[in-house]
Amino acid sequence: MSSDHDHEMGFLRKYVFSTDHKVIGIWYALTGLFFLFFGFCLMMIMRWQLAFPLEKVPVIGGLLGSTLANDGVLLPEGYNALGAMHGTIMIFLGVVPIVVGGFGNYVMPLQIGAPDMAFPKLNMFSYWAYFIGGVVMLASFFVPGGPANSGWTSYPPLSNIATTGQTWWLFGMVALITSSLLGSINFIVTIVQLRAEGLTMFRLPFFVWAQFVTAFLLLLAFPPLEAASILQLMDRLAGSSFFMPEGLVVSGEQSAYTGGGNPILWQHLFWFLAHPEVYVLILPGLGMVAEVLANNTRKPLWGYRTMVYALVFLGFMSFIVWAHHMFITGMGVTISAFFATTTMIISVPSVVILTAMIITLYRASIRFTVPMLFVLGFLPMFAIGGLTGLPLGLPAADIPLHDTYYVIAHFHYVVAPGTIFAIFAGLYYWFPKVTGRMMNSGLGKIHFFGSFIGMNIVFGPMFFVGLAGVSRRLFDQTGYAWGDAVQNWTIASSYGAWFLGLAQIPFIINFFMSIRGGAKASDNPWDATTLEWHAPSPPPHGNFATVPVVYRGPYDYSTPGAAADFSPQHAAGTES
Amino acid sequence: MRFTKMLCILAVLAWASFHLLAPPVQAQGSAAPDTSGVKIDGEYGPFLPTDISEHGYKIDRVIDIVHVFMAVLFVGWGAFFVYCLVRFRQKPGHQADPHEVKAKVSKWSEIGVAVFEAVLLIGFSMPLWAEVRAEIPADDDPNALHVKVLGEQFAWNFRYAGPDGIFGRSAAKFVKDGTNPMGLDRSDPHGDDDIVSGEFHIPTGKPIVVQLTSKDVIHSFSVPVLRIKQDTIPGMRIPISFTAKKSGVGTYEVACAQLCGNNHYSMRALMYVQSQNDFDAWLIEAGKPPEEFDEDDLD
Amino acid sequence: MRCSKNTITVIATGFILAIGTTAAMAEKTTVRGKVIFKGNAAKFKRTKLDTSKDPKCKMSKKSIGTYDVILNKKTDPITIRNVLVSIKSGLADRVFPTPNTPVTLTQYGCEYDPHVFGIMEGQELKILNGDETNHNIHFLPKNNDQYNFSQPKKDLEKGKTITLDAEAPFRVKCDVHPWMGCHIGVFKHPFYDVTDKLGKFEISGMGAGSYTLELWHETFGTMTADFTVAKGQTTDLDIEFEVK
Ligand code: HEM
Ligand SMILES: [Cu+2]
Ligand SMILES: [Cu+2]
Ligand SMILES: [Cu+2]
Repeated sequence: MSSDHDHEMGFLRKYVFSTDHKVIGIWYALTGLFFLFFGFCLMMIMRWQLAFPLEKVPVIGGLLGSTLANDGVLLPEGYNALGAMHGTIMIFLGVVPIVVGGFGNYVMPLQIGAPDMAFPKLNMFSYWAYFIGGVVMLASFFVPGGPANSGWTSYPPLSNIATTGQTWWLFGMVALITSSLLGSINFIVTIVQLRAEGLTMFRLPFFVWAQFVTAFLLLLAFPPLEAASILQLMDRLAGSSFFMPEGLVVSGEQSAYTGGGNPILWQHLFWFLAHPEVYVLILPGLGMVAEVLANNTRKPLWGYRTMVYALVFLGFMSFIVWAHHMFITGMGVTISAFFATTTMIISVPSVVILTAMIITLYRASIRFTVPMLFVLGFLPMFAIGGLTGLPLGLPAADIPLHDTYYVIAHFHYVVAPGTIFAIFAGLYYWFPKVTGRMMNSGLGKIHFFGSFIGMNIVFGPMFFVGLAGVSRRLFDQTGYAWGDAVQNWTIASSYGAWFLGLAQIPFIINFFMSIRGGAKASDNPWDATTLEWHAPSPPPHGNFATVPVVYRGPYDYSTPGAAADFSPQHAAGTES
Repeated sequence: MRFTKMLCILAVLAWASFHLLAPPVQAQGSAAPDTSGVKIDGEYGPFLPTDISEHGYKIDRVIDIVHVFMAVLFVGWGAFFVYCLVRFRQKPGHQADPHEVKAKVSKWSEIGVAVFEAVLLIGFSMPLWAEVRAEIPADDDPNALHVKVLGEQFAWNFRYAGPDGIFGRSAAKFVKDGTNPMGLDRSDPHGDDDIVSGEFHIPTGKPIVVQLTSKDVIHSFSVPVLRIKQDTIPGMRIPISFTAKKSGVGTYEVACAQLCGNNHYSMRALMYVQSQNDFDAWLIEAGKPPEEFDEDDLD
Repeated sequence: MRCSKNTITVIATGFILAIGTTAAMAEKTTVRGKVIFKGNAAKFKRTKLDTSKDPKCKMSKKSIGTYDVILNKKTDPITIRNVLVSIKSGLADRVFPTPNTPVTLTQYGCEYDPHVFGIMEGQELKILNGDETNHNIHFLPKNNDQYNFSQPKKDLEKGKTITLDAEAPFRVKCDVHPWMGCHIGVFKHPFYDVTDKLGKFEISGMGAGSYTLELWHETFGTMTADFTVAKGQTTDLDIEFEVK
């Protein structure tokens, strides 16, 4: 891969329609970060309505238009639309593209010593399919009636009779799903085929394992949702009634649907995807956390093999727990016993992974670098998120908690201070590899502590609001006695969200300033062992000057008798 | 480094004190009457609200046990975590020990977790779920009161069988907003005395069976003080059953807990829990034909 | 050049409009009368509506009645309220200016006021909420947009303003208070009226000629009636609406 090869390519081919996994990864990450921020902004608007019901949204109230708001006051339909789009954008346009498309694409081939993904063109196509999906979702904000407003779950019949935005949502989803499916095939083939010599499966960094399992989840879980989306499109556009029973009376008028369908069918198809999807959100995050953890404890991960087995088991189990989202639909005793049991079982491998990570800290030599701080924030937050899943998995305890803010708090502890912290850890950790420069650690620390406090003020009170009985997706809780009683907690939570927003400013400054002005980074600034640190920072097209050969496991830190406290995977010498 | 660590600990402490020490907010809902002038009974605050059902305490007990268990685990993990952060921070001349710690504790705690979960599931949750879901009085059980509940965007409709104890026929084609929201077939003699109301009235001390369905989209019939919540699904008829405690007399709220459209948040109904006598009196009152309306009679 | 052309157009239009209006005023033609109920009046009772779903409704009005049939039984003959009377044919291709004044639809006491009304194509319809509760306005027309928006707050000033295309009367309802309904007819001309409490209507300004009136009632359906009016005259027209 000589440099004249680079020169041959025009600007567009090199930076925009590039097939280089690194350029695509950067695009994925930047687009994803944009959407993450956008989805968060939607939530900051919604938090205003929740804290101060029916008051004019300050500053940007006027920009909300006349469909979602009236005179700057958010309307219930606007709230529902922003809520549905927050969920959709965060998951399908924010987190998944960042952790899989961004980090997966950029880091995984480097970590396995490959020059690129197995199918570079397919990779580029995945990105553009994702991009189109994103554009469709954004455009839907401007169609009459506003964007989709039936929740990210889009349960019919509601979604079938919803405004045009729902049709756009479905088209957007088809594009996004196609993107993920193509991406997942590419990941699997790359990991199986392109590993460097000597890099056996059990020498793979944990991050690569996480990507591997994630790719299988995407591959197997998405087709049912793609099919379901197309069925719903047909219900909406072609007059079929896959999800519509007969005898419906909508707004006092008998519905034109012939009936014969079943709304529960959608829920099964949807959650068959969406439960594994939850693991798609968290597994790559766990992978990133593992990398940073080993590097900053200067120790091998405790129980690496056990963790890998737990990971695979988790991936497998995630396919047979989906109906725990549906206990309240009127599920029978036997069926719910099955799903409650699988749900309790799936908590065991999660506990194993988390415990292994915490034990890794024992007898370590902990460096409190910025990425490590985010990892240390991640661990207890993820534990809270995981633990609070238990009462939701027990059908009886689920009765008062189902569809309340308790659920919102539970899964946000997993995805927000959980996955988002993992993403930040990853960003600070791999930034020098991507740009050749370090991010400022002072600003990074401010960012971390601000985010840590902010996240807990946002989501902590939600447990109590949920216990009090306040439903999720509720435009104004003060109309109910139980909601009015905990309005103060909701206000606190909203202040938390805006504070969290402020806490991102140092990050944004740091990010853009460091791209050009950061301290120059060496090829291996963190004294790490895995292969990506063997490549130059930033790695050229084709990645490695010489194809690396791997001699040891991924985390050979502090080996007695070694020259330094780390032995890179490509370094020959005593094998471990 | 020392500074960072201090901050770290401070943050954890701040978090903990926020969660554990914050005084419970006084239940404002019970103090201030609803702006509509209807006072809602019960105590509400940052924990589970008042429970007026016979079965509710069992659900609350499971929730309590799980939370204690969670707290124990979290504090255990947390203590170890903080200990490691302080004890094993990077120091000059100190190196990490790469040998795998033989962590018997971890193995045992994992087995403990699994066993405890099994006990929770098999010992508490499943029997309770079976009780709530499966022990539903039959349609013709005279000891139970049967109520048909129909959800629609965005209102709850309640229907009682009336003096003959038999529900009349109903169908979508008879539905008329305002006068016949539940689509009763007026020509069916059994339906003649059926009572349709926008309020939910129930007697205490008697098993109630609620037959849930929906006119249009999925709603969820949720009454926190009764510890019940059940989706209403168009095209399906789902029964649930509960009994209100004798001490539970009062006015409460019914909510919709499933996003059902623009005004989901307005889908609220009032629930009047009454002594059997008061309830019977209400039934008679509500069973009368609607009063004639003459505009000039208005104040 | 272009500017002056525009000016000319504006002046010309104004001129034509002025002539049109003065002409109409000069020949002040009126048709008026009442709509008489023919059938079994005992079958139709107006009863109280069950508004217990939302106690806030009672804060504005203690009780409200059904509206699908409102008969004025206090006079003889019995007349029908809320019949939308409009000219169906006879106007040929004449074009009429759209009034600048908006029509207001107010939600008060969880009831629509007015309950049936006509509006001209393109004329502003201003929707207000006089209650301390949330209303949701859901239009159920065939041709127009199916507007469906909320007014969660009391608002008697700004409200929300929309315009409509001509369409036969259609229903508008509140999804929060399912009993709340009203009907709107949208016309290309200004010659329509709704019968009042006494069942009376009056339409004027159509000019001399022969016309057909259409009567529309939400429960009884439609019927037509012909009339002729001479220049500067008033035609009295009592119409019997036969109800089976
Ligand atoms: C970090 C800042 C975030 C804040 C403050 C936040 C806040 C919230 C709140 C308050 C709700 C409940 C809204 C309601 O039910 O009315 C919600 C819903 C949701 N959030 Fe977030 N969230 C954040 C990040 C995320 C992330 C990172 C994800 C996903 C990866 C996510 C996914 C969702 C989903 C799926 C829903 C449910 C949407 C629905 O009801 O259809 N959120 N969020
Ligand atoms: Cu509902
Ligand atoms: Cu609802
Ligand atoms: Cu209303």
